[in-house]
Amino acid sequence: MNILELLHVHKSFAGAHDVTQALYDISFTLRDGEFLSIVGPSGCGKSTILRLIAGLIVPTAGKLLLNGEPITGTNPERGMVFQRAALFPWLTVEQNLTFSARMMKRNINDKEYRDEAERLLETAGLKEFRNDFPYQLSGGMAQRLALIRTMINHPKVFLLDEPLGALDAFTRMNMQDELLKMRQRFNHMMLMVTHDIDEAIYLGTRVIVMTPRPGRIRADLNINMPFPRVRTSSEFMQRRREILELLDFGA
Amino acid sequence: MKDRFNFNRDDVFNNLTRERLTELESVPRTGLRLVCDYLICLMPVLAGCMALAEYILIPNLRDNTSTQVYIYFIAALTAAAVIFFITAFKSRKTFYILRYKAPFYALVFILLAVYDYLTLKTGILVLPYFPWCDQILNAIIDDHAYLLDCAGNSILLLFSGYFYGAVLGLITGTACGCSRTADYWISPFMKLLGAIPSPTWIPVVMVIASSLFAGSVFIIALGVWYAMTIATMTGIRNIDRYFYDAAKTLGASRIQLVFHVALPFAVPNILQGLTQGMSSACMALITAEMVGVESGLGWYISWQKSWAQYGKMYAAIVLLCVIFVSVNWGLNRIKRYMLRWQERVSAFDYGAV
Ligand SMILES: Nc1ncnc2c1ncn2[C@@H]1O[C@H](COP(=O)(O)OP(=O)(O)OP(=O)(O)O)[C@@H](O)[C@H]1O
Ligand SMILES: [Mg+2]
Repeated sequence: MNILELLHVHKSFAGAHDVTQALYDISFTLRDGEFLSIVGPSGCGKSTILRLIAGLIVPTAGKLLLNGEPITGTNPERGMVFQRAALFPWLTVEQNLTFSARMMKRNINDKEYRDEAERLLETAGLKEFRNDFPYQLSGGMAQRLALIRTMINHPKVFLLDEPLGALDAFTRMNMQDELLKMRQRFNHMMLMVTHDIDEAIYLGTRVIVMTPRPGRIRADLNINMPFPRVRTSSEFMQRRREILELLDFGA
Repeated sequence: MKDRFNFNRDDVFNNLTRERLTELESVPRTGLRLVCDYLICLMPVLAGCMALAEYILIPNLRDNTSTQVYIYFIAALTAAAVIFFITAFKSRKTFYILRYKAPFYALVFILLAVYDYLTLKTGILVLPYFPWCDQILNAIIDDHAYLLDCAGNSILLLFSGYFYGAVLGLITGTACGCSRTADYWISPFMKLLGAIPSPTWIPVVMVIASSLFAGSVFIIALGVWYAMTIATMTGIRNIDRYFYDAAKTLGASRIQLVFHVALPFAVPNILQGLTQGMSSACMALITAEMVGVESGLGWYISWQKSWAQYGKMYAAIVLLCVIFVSVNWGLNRIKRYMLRWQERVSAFDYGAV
């Protein structure tokens, strides 16, 4: 059982002339199997939270603990998919997928690893494109590759920063189901930033609503609906209205 | 438009080649266009024949002498043009390449003929400064053993300097791009050295260096080193933060960030630096050979010039051109291969100009 704890985390960035406070007193706890959606207006520090958990930046104050141990630096057990696909343009689809294994000196010809790579290429629909370079992929294909590139490590903590933001409605819904399947398969914790409230409710077992300047948690809601969820159900609509109101968009 | 849409679909979409694709997507070539295209492809052959006729039929000016060598030379080139033309009928790919290059090849023949007319036939451009092609060719043949020896020396010197400069430049460039400390200590010297053209050092180095060869290698390497350092550094500095973030969350260590992210990202700039370094190396090579080193084509040129042997001088110049052009061609090939991950966009494709 893995536990991720954020305890009174503050984060400020030094600008050219002043210091911006990006996050103010963020605390929450997350366990295996939970899917946390984070919504909030642009610039309220959603990406900053994920980057802190990934270990890409350090908090100004407060603690981040994974299983009681403080988070220091990056580690593939905390995988992150970025707002932009960030594929390596000089590597082919397959080389991008196996990048992580090569960095960690894993044997990429090992049977088990190969099977997993094949399976992921298959689900992402990238099997025929394995030898193509990223510039030859469509936006959706690139984002799917970015997803499976992180998935292949089976991270304990899966951080998703608007991974589906650039996709069309259909690909997006397919990918959402793909994420749900993955959660069922590995039962790991997932944190996803999104600007789409439907998506937040459709996927999340919990939704955190944030407010900007400085970024704080306005509400932390549990969503106890069985999967797969029906987007048109009255409960779904109810939760949606609730979140919109928290974001000051209520009628 | 008819034959654009009247095709057998299976036939077209199975084994679709790049050339066939371009053909399908562009305006269809009708009978007249096609005839014109083949005529254009034939142009180098015609121009070659014209150059031959010019040489054989027009009488030489007074006591200008000429030999058969130029005839063989032009005939060989024309024969190559004929073979190219025939293969264009067999392969679509060759056809498109020839269709693109033919006008330029034709121009080369015409320029040769015009030059021959202005020198050998009419003497408008006077000796000894403007020897005709036949003379230059004969000079190459007469002195070929010595010329080859000189060319060998030049190439050895060029590549020794180029190699050391490129490797060192890659190292300092990477260090400056990736490490703040290295940048702090090395950059000021770069700024100082970069402002001075490397041939400036020749007089000093020639006195200090243990041998002339070592001194010249140093001069050549210096320019290449500078170009490579700047290029590598710029390439690495331009990298997007996202690439480092992604690589780090995927488990890359600091060293791996350098070798698997920073350097591959900088490859386009590095190749740019290699090309730039080559042109500075060539310049430094010739300067060094003309000033100090007593071998190589640069030295041969200034030596023959001092004896007013302009034919031989031009022979060496022609050989130098051939060497530089082939080296650049090789570099471009490497570039094409290394950068196959980049989408090649050219302004022509978008109708610019
Ligand atoms: N590296 C940085 N340097 C300086 N300021 C930063 C940096 N990263 C983020 N910030 C600031 O922190 C605040 C939060 O940024 P963050 O990227 O977390 O927002 P976000 O909620 O992800 O926004 P969006 O939805 O637009 O992606 C912003 O005001 C931003 O200007
Ligand atoms: Mg963001």
